[in-house]
Formats: sequence, C-alpha cells, structure tokens
Amino acid sequence: MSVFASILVPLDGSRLAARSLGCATWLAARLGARLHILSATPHELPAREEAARLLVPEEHWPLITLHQGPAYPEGAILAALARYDIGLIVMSAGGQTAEAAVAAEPGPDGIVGHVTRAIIEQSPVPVLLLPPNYRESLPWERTLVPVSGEVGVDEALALAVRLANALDLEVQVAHVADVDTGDEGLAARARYADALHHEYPRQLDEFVSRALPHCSPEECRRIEEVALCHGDAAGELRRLIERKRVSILVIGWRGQFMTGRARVLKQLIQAITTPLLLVRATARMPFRLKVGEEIG
Amino acid sequence: MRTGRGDLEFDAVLFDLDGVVTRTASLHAAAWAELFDDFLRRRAAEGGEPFRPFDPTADYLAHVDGKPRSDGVRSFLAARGIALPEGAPTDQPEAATVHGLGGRKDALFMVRLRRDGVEVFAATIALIRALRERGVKTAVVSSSRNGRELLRTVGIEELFDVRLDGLDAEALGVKGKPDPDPFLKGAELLGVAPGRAVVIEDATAGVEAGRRGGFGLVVGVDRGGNREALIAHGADLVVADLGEVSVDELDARRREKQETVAAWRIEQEGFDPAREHAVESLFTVGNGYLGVRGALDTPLPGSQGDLFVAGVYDRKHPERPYSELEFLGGGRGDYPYSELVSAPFPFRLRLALDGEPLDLASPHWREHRRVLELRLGVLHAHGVYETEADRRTVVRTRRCASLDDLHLLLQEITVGLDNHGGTLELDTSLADPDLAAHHPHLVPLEASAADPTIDVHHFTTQVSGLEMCLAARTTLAGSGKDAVRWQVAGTIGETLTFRRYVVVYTSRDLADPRAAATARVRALRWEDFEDALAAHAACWHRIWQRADVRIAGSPATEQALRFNTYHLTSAADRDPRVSVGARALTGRAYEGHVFWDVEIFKLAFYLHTCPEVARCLLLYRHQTLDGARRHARELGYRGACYAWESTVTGDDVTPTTIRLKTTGKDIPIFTGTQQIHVTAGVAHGVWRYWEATRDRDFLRDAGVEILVETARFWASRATRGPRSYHLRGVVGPDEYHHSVNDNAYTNWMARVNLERAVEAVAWLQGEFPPAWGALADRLALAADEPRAWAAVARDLYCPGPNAQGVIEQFEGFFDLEDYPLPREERFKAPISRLFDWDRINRLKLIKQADVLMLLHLFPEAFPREVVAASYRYYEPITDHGSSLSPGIHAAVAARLGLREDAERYWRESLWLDLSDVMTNSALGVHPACMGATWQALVLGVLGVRFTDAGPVADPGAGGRLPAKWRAVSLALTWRGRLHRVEVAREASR
Repeated sequence: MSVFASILVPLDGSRLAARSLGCATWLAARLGARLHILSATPHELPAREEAARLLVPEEHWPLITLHQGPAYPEGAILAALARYDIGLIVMSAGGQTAEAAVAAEPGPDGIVGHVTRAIIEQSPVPVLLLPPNYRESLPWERTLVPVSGEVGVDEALALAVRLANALDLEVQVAHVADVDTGDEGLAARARYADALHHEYPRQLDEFVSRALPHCSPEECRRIEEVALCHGDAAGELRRLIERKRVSILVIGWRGQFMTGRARVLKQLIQAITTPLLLVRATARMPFRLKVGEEIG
Repeated sequence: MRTGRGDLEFDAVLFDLDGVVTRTASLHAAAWAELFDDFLRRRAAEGGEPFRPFDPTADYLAHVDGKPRSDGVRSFLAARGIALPEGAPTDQPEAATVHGLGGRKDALFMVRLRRDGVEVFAATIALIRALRERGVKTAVVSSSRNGRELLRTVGIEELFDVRLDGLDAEALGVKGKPDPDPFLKGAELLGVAPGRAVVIEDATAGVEAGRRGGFGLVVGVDRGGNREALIAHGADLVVADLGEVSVDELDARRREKQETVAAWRIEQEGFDPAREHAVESLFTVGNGYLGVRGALDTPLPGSQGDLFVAGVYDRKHPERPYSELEFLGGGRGDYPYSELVSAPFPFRLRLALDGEPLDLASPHWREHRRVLELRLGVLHAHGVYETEADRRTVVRTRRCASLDDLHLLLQEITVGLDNHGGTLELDTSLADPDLAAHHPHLVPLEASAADPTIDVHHFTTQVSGLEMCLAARTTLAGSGKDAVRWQVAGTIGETLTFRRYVVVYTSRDLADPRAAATARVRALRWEDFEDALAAHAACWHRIWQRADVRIAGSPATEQALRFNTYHLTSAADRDPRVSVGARALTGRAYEGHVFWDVEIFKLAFYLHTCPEVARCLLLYRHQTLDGARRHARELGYRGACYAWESTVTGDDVTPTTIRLKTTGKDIPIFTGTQQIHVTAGVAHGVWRYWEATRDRDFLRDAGVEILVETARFWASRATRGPRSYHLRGVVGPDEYHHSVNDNAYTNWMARVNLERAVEAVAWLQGEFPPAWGALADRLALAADEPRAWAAVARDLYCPGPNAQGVIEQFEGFFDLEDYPLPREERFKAPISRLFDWDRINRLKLIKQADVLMLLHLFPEAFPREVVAASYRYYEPITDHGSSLSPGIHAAVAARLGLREDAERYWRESLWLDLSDVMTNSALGVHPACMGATWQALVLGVLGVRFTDAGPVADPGAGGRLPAKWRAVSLALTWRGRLHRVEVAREASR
C-alpha cells in the first residue's frame, strides 16, 4: 500500500504557491499517488491547457486531477481532503497572503500566510510545507526526524521511515536536548538517552526501533544514524541539515501555531531551504500502567 | 465526634459540582432545552421537518450531562443526525456552529443563575465537612465553565483544597469528561494517588471518567432515574443522596473494592510504542507447557507476539540476543538445542470495517485498554475506534492459555457496531508472511487443504528436527460455521462474537502432532468454550487457595505479589523433561536456558505452594544427569557437574564469549567452566524437597542418585592442601570475579552437598537395600566412597569470619582495591563492567549477593553478629547487576531488623518487572527475582522456620511489617498439609 494514495496541491495563482507543484508532481510519480490540484483561476480553462499553463510535464498528466475555481480558501481546501480522500497536502508557506502576514506580524510568528496557517493547524493529514527560502532539490536523498521523547513524535518518525522506504531515502534521527527551555521532562529524557548512547551504543537504535511498532523491520533499517545534540534545537537541526545534506525534515507537532508556540518550528521555517513535513500528534489516551502507588 | 484521620485508608474525595454539590442540574437542563428547542424549531421551519423538542430528562442525561458544553452540543446533534461546523471558541452565540451553540447555552444558563439563584445539597456539605474534619482532602472538579462563579455565589469555596472548572481545564489543556484527565489532574494537584481517592459524580460521563481514571471508589449520585446508567458506566456504589453514606462507609467500600478488584488485576491503558515490548512480557499468558507474549490481538509490524513451547529448542540463531539486546552469545557450535524457539503469534487477528483497518496503526483508534485478570488467568483487551463520520466500533477480546488442557488456547473476539452498520472483515489466519525473519528456527511443512475451515500450520525446526503444529478454528456466534477469514455485514447496534480455539502439539508430545492438533480442534464445539474457560478458572482457583498472599492494608503490594505468583505459576509445567528458564516462556533473553536460579530462587515458592511442580523441576535434573556427567568429564572430573546453562539434554550451553553488537568486541565468559556452585545448588534443592515433603519415592528413585553423583564431582574437584581441601579457580554468585579460590558460598554449598550425600546413602541402605544395591552397581560405587566424601566435607576449607565478623568472599578478597560505587551505577551497571572484566576482577565491587546468599540459605548456621557484619561490609559494594540480588538483601536486612533497607530492597525486587527497573523486561519477565521476593517476604520479613509440626513465623515478625500493612496471611504446604501463617502488625520494636 502506498504511503500516500492521494496528494493535494492548493494553488492560489501566486508564484510562491506554484513552486510546490514540482515537488508534488515528483512525489506523486514516485509514490504512484493521484495528484489533485486545486487551481484558483478567474477563468476556467480546458484541463490540458491549464495543466500546460501550470507547467506540469505532460508525462505526469495521467497522474493529475485538476480542479479549477475562482478561489480556494482554507474551508475549501479542508473540505477537499475528505472529498478526495487526501493523504498529504503540499503547499507553500505563503502565497498571496504571505506578504500581508509578514507585514502584519513581523518575525517568526508571521512566517506563513493565513491560509497556510489555517491548513497546518487544522489539517488532519500531514502537510508538506515549502519554506519561504525553499530551494528545489530533487530527488530527495535523506530525511531528518527530530525526536524529543514526546508521544506525537513517534507518528512523525513512523511516517518518515515508511516514506523513506517508499522513496529509497536514508533516515537521520536527531535527539536534541534543549536545556534552555526549562523542560525538565525533556532534559531528563535527554540525559537518559545520552547515558544509553555512551553505555550501549546500539541500544539507542533499538530504543528508536522499539518506538516504531507500526513499521516493519525492513522499514526500520532505513534509520541510518541516531544523533544526539545538546543546545539550541533550531540551530542544531540547521547544522545537521547542512552537514548531512538532508532533503526533507519531518516534524511531529501539536498543531498550535499561535504566538508563543512552536518556537523551534517557526525558526526552522524561516531559516531552512528544505521542505518540512508536518505531522500532527493525534490526541489519544496517554499510557498508564495501574500498579503500585496508582492503586494505593 | 472523631477528629483526625484515625485508620482511614483513603486520602481525598473529588466532587462533581452540578448535581452533587449544587442543585444546578435543573438550571442546566432548562438552558439546554431553551437552546436546542430554539435551534430545532428554526431548523424544522427551514427544512420542513417535524419539530421534535429536546427532552430535559432523557436527552439531558444521555447527551449533555457532565460533559463540556461543546461535547454536549456535538453529542446531542449527532443523536439527531445533524452536523454543524465546529467553528471556534471565539464564535458569537448566534453562530450556527458547535462552539456558537455552546456559547449561547452558557449565556442562557447565566441568565437563569442570576435570576433564580442556586441551592446546595445539605447532605453533601455535611459530608464534605466531616471528611475535612477527619483530614481527608477535598476537591471540586466540574466541566462547567461557571464553576468558580457558582462556588463564589454559594460561598463554599473554602470547603475545597482544589477547585477545577471548565475554564481551568481549558487553560491546562485537559480534556473533558468522560476522559479521566480532569479528575486525574485534580488528584495530582491534591498530591494523592488515584487509587487512594474517591470520585463522587451524578453524570454518567463523570462516573466513566472516575472509572477510567482508576480511582479507589466511584460513587454515583442518582437524583432520579439514572441508577442503571450510572452503574453501567462504572459506579461502584449508587446513592440517592450523600446523606446515605458516612466517611467510614466510603473508607470501607474503597478498601473492599481495592482488595477485591484492583489488587487482582494489572490494567494498562493507552499505548506507548517504546514500552510495548515490556508490556508484552508482563501480559504473557502461559501454562508451563507454552507461553504466548501479550502482544496486541491485531499486532503491529514491530510486535513480538512470540509463542514458546517448553522444551522446543533449536541451534542458536546468530542474530538473536543473549541477555540484553546489545549482546550476542557465541560458542555453542552446532548443538541442536541451544536456543528456545519462537513460533508465530497464535492470537493474531486482522480486523477491518468497510476496508478501514481497526488497529493501533490506524488513525481511528480512540481508546485502548488491556487488563490481565490475575484471579482467572485471562487477558482482556478493549479498543474503541471511530472511523469516517464518527462511526464508533468497540472491539473486546479475551484470551488465555488453559491450565486445564495445556495444549489449548482460547480467544473470544466481540465487535460492537455502536452507531452504524457496515461490513466487518476478520482474518484469523496465523500465517506469517515473513516467517523466516520473525521465526528463523522454523521451516514450514506442507499444509494440506483437507478442511479449509481449519487453519493448520505445521513446522519443523531447522536443526533439532522437532515438529510443532498449530491448528485453529474460528466460529461466529449464531452462524454455525467455521472459517479462517470472515466478511460479515453487521447492522447498527449489532454485536458480533467470534470464538477461536488454537491447539498446539509438538513431536515431543507424540509422533504425529499435526493429527493430534487437528483432531483436538475439530472436536471442540462453540458451546465448549465457556466450559473450557470454567475448567481453566477452576485450576487458577486451586492455585490461589494455596499460593495467594494477603496483605491487609496494601492492595498495591497484594497486586504485585499476585502478579509474581501468576508468572511463577504460568512458567512451570509438570513435565520432568523441562524446567523454568531465566525468563520462563515470556521472552527471548537467555535463550530459554535453565540456570542455578531454579533451585536457589524459585524452588522454595513451588515447594511450599505446589510441591508437585517442585518435584518435576528436580526430576528434570535427574533426567539431565547424563549431560551433567558429560560436563564433569569434559572438565576432567568424576560424577556429575550440572551445566551453568542447560536445555534438554543437560549439556552445557553457556556461551564462551559475548559479542557486543556495536563494536564486535568479544568478552570472555567464565561461568560455563567455573560457576560450578550450580551443582551444589541442585543437591541443595533435592534435600530441601526431601525435608519439605518426605517423598520417599523421589529420594529413592532420583534424589539419592543426584546427591551421589554430585558428591563424586566435589570429591574429585577439591584439591588437597597441607591442612584442608580447597576449591580453586571458580566463579561464585558474584560474576565480577573469576578464577578465584575458596569462594565461601561455593565451598560451603559443596560441603553440605557432600554431607547430604553421605546421609542419603545411609538412608537408602537402611530403607531400601535392594534399591541401594542396584544403584551402587549401576554407578560402580565403591563401598568406601561415602566415607571419602565425609572426609572431604570435614576437611574442606570454608572461610570463617574475620576479627570484625566478616566472612571473606574468597581468598584474597579483603586485599582487593577499593572501589567507591556511585549510586547511579546500582541496578544498571555500566557496560565498562564487561569491557574491563580483568580490572573489575581486582576490585572490591560485587555484582550480587554472594556471602549474603549463604547467610540467607542457612540462617541458623551463623551468629547474628556475623550476619550483621557481613551485611554491613558487602551491601555498600554491591551494584545489583543481577535481578537476583535485591531480594536476598531484603531477606537478610529483614532478619537483622534493618527495616528501611529491607523495605527498600524488597520494593526493588517486588516491582522489578512492573516498573521495568532494569529496563530489560522487554526480553521477558524475571521469575527468579519473583521467587527471591517471595523468599524475602516469607523467610526474611516473616522469618518463617519449618519444624516437624509445620511452619512457624518469627515471634518478632509483627514488628517488622512495613508501615501500611495491617497483617499478612498466607498458606504454606509442608509435608503434605496446608498450614496457614498469619502475622498481625505490632508496634515496632
């Protein structure tokens, strides 16, 4: 079964948004997925003409389904997800609204346009986000997944591994302990993982593999290395992206982009040139084993 | 009036607000009715549908009572088949969105509150005051966003230590009832464990939240017509008004519930991939013949749902771990019985609804819970899935490995289509498409398709040539049919129940396991299922009668002890061809090998709870005597030297090296040739069994031969010095020191072995002369051999205490280099211990109890001063790199009256697997540690000694019980009778 059977690309007619088409087409072709294009245009054209206008290579036309309309606001994009059974959205961090967003809220919080922000916050499926400084570099070779020990990250890691297996990529995992956040839980986990790394080097790999029960052993073997970093998370990840020639960053997050949240994510969107695959953590029951003190 | 907590055993009560403390339910119901009636009326007018008003009783209770307002809106609208956009919390009240309607309801409620005011329930206030006078903390936990304002309005804020309302929950990111989060957060803020707190609620959603939160007691308040629903959602007790219960009644009911329910189950909810393999070990179901790890019914690709059958071994597979994931054990050549074989998961299911998989890999799962019901030996699972358009499907399963028919596994699958109809697909095939990778020891044999309704999987092992066959049959209730793959159209509200029998036979059982498995599974009918379960439950009932340990005052301790008893029982068969491996049949660590821990750590439990199992474990040693003889010869000695690690033939299967996966570095292992104390341990077990049972048949037919052959070994192994015999070049229980001379434990045990052999020979000569003659002939035993053993025993050097009263672990130990042991190195020894084995050999650092083992096993042989001095000396230099160590330290500390040490070590030992202290339970549980825990309690804390009349607890034991315990009660089997031992708490001495 394909990792994504259907991919959606919303285009608002802007140059920025159109950049996502190249990556989306390549991905659909490699995964054997259907590509749904929502093309906002004042004048609907015959499908072949519109595809040509969008510069979709003719060889990929059989893959695409073109939808044209005067505008595709966030509600229309979200509605299309269910209608076309979409597994992945590919979109630019900003289209027509990006400039306005940056003007209204300069700095990391205004780094994406309001439509993109609504989509990444509300989409039930992963979003492949092309940052403002995106530079297309295909085919992809390597993916990087930051892990923090939080449950939501497992989903991102699992998806990264499955995607890597489908696209023949290597997976780099990075555990970044950001001691400045005052997150005791995270720091404690980092210390633990670090200790493991020194004492039982391979056990950290096992630790990661064990967090991937959704993946087959073959898929798990895509994990090339588990790196441990200490310090500023965004900075460390940027360095890793450059050093390891990472093609795509896969990030698990909670879906909250408001001011004060997703600090590292915003810094990365602002700074990097590679696409980011955003995977929202599903709200589920936390793990509890009702023994000992729990039962009194 | 009583003041102070007295003997109350709960710490807090968490109250719902509306309907429990304040009489606001009618205000809420009226506000909801006004909201929905207005909405429905307008919708009817627009759509031409008939107007059906909101029922302020039925609809209120079913859909909105106790829930956050947006959940209430969603629930009611869904029941009427209406879908509205979610909107946002900032939506105006007039917005036609879920949040818009919620905001409007809030406004309507506030209007009524300000206009009509609110009353409190007098009996509730009286109960709260009584609780607080007794020192019980109180909290109010409400879904209402107006909770704080309500409390202020009524003027009762000061009655609660913690106040959480809907606004607080939102700010804290806490989900609403029926999720347990609000109550759990309340308990956390109060600083109490959920099990020691009570929840009082009037809404079904709140009651469910209390139940799911694992609270000590959930009280439902039925203000009219809701009693059955409250019970159905998990209320332990339902009252019409809180005037019906007192503080003491709450205490008594909570205590009763904890003792009868919570202490008999291990419950796990949610899912953490990183802990799943350890949970699989904990939830293994087994019966000694086989064990099946507790993997999910619908396994994920990474699940490790191994089936192990005792005695089915094959050649070592090079990529399988040894004791830790990091270690690979080498050096067993082509020996065909090196590693316990893992077979495919026999409870595997694939479930889908209209093509959507129902498993934890799908995005559709909402709830997941597993409960190991210890009393009945049954594992339950409960999963809730919500597929497209909020279609809710509930999947429940239960499974067990029958104790009544050891070849039989039972599984029931119930699928409830709560609010929808659809096509359910159930695939029960046990075929593993990647068998070679998952179970590399097995080669599938051709399966005939004689009966396609039965799923038959027949394997042979790669090298040992053992055959194993699994035959399974699945039936759907009411269908009268069997099938491997099902596709069933279910209607809304329908529950589909499937039952599966899996039968397992191997060529160790009979010549044709396939025929046996197929015939047995065919013979089972749908209606046999309950009978089979009942027979299984009856076996467990008999076990608990003999093995249960009651700890009045500490359900958590009872729970952990029962968990241990469950696993020790599930580990052992009554088959003398097999014994209990280091991780029993629960995981791959140690390759299923049998160690010294059987006789020294586990045997005491079996001896005094189920002596027939103890007998079989010792008969295994008798059956493997030839292997032990071969091992002795290989080492250059006479008699029988038991292998440090053995499987089916008794030949030594200890790896000679361990290779670290990462570095490829080999570490030499000395235990196979030097850890010879296992031989004396077996002899010790034989004698303990004889003392406890006076089983003359066993001693005549097996015991004496073991004692004789082991004594012969020691007589040849001992080296004559100028004044004494010595045992040189050994490894004692502490494996950090190899090639040592005169290890105190080894020498002492060898001496006892020699003495018991002399005694046993005399007994056999006197009681059964022909049997003695036959044995002496068979073993070519010279008449003067027993005298020679006695001489060696007499002159064997056994280190005594030094001037400070400390027994030296081995010759020269006191002169080794000191090593300051950091606290963090305890229980999880750094790998440098292995890398630097030669350096560690020169340090005063030990892995586990060594001299203390001796003091524990022979409590009457050493004066208290020697025990105390040796404990003080060795305890600080032990890093407990073995799970066997804490229990022995607890036992010795308890006897010395060192209560703090005893309790600390005992807790480490008791919860070793449940809290995964050593982070290696993923590869199986630690049954020997469980045995050590049992010994530490019975022989250490209770100080039980066995006299001719039976077991007697130490008179001072009542003063040694941990703080919360009121009494300990258990049964011990001694010489054919069951004796009750009861120790009540006394003031500390």
